Amino acid sequence: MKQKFYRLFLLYMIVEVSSAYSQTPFFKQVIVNRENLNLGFNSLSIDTNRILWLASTEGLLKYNGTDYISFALKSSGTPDEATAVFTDSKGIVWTGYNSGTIAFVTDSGLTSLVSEMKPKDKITSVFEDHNGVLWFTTGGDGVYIFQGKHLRHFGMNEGLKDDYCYTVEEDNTGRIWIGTDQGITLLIKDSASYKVAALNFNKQLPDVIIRDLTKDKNGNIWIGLQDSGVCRYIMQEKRIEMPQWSRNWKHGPVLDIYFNKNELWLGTEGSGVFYLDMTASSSLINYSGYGEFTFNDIRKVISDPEENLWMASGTGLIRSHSHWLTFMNAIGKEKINYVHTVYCSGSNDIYLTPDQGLLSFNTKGGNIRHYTITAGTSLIDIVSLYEDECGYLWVGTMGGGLFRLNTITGTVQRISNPDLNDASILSIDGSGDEVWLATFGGAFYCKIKGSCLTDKPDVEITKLDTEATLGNFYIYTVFVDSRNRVWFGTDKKGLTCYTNGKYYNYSTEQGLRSNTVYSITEDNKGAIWFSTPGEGICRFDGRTFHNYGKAEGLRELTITALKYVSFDRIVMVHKKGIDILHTSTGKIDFYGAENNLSEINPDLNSITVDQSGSVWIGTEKGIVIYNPILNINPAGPEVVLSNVTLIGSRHNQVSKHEFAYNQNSFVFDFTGIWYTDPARINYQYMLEGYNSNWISTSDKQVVFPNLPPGKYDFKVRASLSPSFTVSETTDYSFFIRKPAWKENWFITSVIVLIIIAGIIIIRNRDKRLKGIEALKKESVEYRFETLKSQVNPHFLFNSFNTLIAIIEKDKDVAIEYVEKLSDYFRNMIQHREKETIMLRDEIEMVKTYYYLQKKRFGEHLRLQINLSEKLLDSGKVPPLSLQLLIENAIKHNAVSRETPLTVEVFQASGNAITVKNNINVKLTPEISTGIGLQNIINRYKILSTEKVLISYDQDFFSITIPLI
Amino acid sequence: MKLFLVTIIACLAIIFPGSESNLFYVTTSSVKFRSEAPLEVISAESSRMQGVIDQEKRTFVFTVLNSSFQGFNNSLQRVHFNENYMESDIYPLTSFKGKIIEEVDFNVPGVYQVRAKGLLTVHGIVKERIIRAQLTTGKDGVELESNFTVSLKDHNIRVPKVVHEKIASEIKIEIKAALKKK
Repeated sequence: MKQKFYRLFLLYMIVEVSSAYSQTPFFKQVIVNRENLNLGFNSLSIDTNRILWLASTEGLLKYNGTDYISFALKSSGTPDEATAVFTDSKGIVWTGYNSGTIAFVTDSGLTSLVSEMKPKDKITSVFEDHNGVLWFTTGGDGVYIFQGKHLRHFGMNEGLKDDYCYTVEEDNTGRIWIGTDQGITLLIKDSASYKVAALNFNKQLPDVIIRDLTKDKNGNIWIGLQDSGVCRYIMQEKRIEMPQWSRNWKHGPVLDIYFNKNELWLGTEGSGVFYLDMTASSSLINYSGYGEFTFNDIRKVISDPEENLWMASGTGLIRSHSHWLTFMNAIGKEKINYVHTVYCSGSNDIYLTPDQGLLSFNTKGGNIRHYTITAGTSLIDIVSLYEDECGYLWVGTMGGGLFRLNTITGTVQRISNPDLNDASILSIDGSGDEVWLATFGGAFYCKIKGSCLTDKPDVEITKLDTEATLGNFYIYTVFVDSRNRVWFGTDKKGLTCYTNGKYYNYSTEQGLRSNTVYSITEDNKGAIWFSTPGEGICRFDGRTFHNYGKAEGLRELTITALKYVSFDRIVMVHKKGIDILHTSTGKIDFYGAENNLSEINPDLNSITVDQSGSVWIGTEKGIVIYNPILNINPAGPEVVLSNVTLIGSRHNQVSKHEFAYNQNSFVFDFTGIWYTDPARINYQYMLEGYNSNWISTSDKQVVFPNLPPGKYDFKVRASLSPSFTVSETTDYSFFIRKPAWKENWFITSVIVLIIIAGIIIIRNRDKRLKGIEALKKESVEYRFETLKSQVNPHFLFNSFNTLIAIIEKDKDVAIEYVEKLSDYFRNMIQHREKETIMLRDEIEMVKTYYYLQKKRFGEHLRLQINLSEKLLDSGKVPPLSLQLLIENAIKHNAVSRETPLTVEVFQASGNAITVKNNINVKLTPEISTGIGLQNIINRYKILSTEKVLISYDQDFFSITIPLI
Repeated sequence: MKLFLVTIIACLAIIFPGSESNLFYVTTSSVKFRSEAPLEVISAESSRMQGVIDQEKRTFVFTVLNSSFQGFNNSLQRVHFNENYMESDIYPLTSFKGKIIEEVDFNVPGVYQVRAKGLLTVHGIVKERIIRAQLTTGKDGVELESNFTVSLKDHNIRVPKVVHEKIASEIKIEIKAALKKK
């Protein structure tokens, strides 16, 4: 019966003539603006901060992977379609519009270029030559050249083949190539200007409409054509060459040619994008979508520092991981699902086991071979593969035992053993003639006796009966390291090493986090790495165990399989995707849902590395190929401090570092760039001098209102792992000055000033007091003087003499005279104590005085008072001042028939009164005490700001006193 | 409408000054369009295309009145064409003006395959197009033939979902014209 059963394993092989396998990069449409899904893109550029600038149908957009900022020109009402965008060598972003407008971005926003000339048609491209000269091509208005200040036009009149231009390139000899609707125009620099150079190959061009010109690293110029694909100009041989793959081109206009290292990418109008690996003489590969997503009309292709590929399409923005992360979901039309095991053989053949099948292909191409492993009539899941030293493939199945496959003939032989015939072989490894098996029923040791170069070798099988160190049941994995030690991953007994006939067991007691081990690998330093369910991975250098978990940045703790690959990386697979640990830096990259890697559910033996270093991962959804060589520098998210805004100021303050005490409210805007998976960036910030710890945030903005004066350092860092084990930090230090009144120098100077001011005030007060004193004295003196003058004997003597004369003539007049004299003295007594009296009162007194004097001098003395009634009631004067002036006039002048004295009192300009008299020089001048006049002047100094004016000439003396 | 055509011809004269002997004018023409949708095929034709080619500058203008198309499946269709889709009262004209890329010697009889690059205005939306055409030059003048498609979406012509199956998204255009010097 048994014999018959064995014979049922009729094993055969099918060689299928199917097309070679193909790996497809993942293409994803990136939605920039959720409110406008129809946004089309004409071009894109990446700036020095790694930020993307997009020329869209709605104008210029700045995009960091998650958020966009729209830039609009202030002048235009409706958004103008941006048709070109370019970052120059100084980091300035330039954009061109459908209207012909050219603009550039500065700290304060988008500014349009103002020049004497303005392009009349849309800007089709922007280019900078090695001299820093910017070239703008237009669709119908020739080329515009910008050399720092002015735009210069270069069109058909100057020798351009056609005014419709698409592109500019500069070759290694400094010639400028311009692609037009009528072929190429070459320009050479001619002193300050440019002139058309002779060109002999335009006739050789297969098409005259030149859509793109791009220089490759050898200096040859590649020419993208409207209808004939691509050709190139070989600089050394001075001729046009058409690549084989471009002959009979049927894919429409070539809108963009882009070289990324050794890759050539072509964007076309009707057929998506084309890819060519320049190192291999392979053929052109066309990509026009991924899964349900399709695209065409690729207008611009660029790559970012993470080696992602970005494409501007008329129907949207597209991101791809290019060829460092590709997928193989089908072979021909046959879908590949549920790949349990992937294995690369010594001849670089990849074996994979999609859903109960087994197939292989060579990574260099060629046909795909299908093998069938059956146990009786039913197919079995294949879960482990191993190639022995003779090139035979050992095939471990799930519940169907162990087989050995001659991969050339396809002959399959069951390796028969009562313990193995319906066993589940989870893992196979070996070296030389020894092969080790890990099964659900314990571990086995196989020894090939005699030659292995036969379909039916003699294999001796021993079950390892080591209850204590391995357990008797589930062994998940077996791994033979570079020193020929055999490592077992067990279910409940941890990690076990078999070397020199002895078992060494390591469990949680030695520092493991889990006693179950799923997968084992070895790095180039000989350290053993292994993965666990639920406890991450662990590194064992022979002495200590170093665990990696969530804190170290792992995304998932149940790691089904791990493998050490080139560039010191450990690739780990789990159901959420792939974690990649950079063993030298400790950084962990994760690729998941954003990268088309969600719910991939890989198996235990799902990772293999081919001879070129590519990592092949079998998943539930097909094969994932990760190529570390093409992804050499995935420097984690870099954080850019995009704006430092002082609240109340519109401008970016990044260049400023010192602020006044009231410039103390800040807004920091920052952006982490990780286009590979932008939503997963974590941020932490700290304002040194204010915060003492890092603060986690998912916002890209922090506000610090009202900071006290001091020294600050704003630090922000971004990381893909929440633990920030490896992160880039950007900082901005600044200083807020203390308010002036808190500065020491200010306080000192204020004190000094107060002291000085005090001294001055005290001195002034002294002075003023002395002045008042003096004035009082003056006043007293004045009054005394007036009194003295009024009662001076001359006055009385004269008055009495006059009275005697009158009494004799007219008694009535004499009485009136005495009455006036009496009035005079009464008035004087009445008013002299006052500061000021009404002008009318003073004039009354003057009139009385004049009456008295008139009796003495008769017609020889004349007083003319010419003052308005209004003035008499509105003005005030010091008492006796006018009288004193008239008295002075009489005193100092001769009054006689020959020399009559006329005194005029009239209103001067402004609010003042002038007393004017003619000068009659006396033969014996009266001795002047000077007290009277000086006294008036002094009094006015305290009573009024106006001054007393004195003027005289040979004939007249006049004095003007202001009214108070 | 006549006034309109007169205006256009006047415009053409302004656009194309210079010696008359350089200009070829359309004498007879046929513009056909064809919409091949799963449920219905619609076609119509106009013989009233106007146009001129400047043989020296290799520039051209062609224009046709939307209301001049005839031959719909029924008269209601024609009304829909003019009122609902082309909005002929707002955008009465369809035009194409531009430049011929290839060199053509109009004095030598022969057949030339050319690309005409210019601005195609349909439904008021201007699109830059490169359209292939065949020019046959003879002693009497030039014969022009061209087949191309116009996308409804490109020209913002909205088709209600109900009639989606009846109107193709890409309309095929076939043009034949004879041009002569005046």
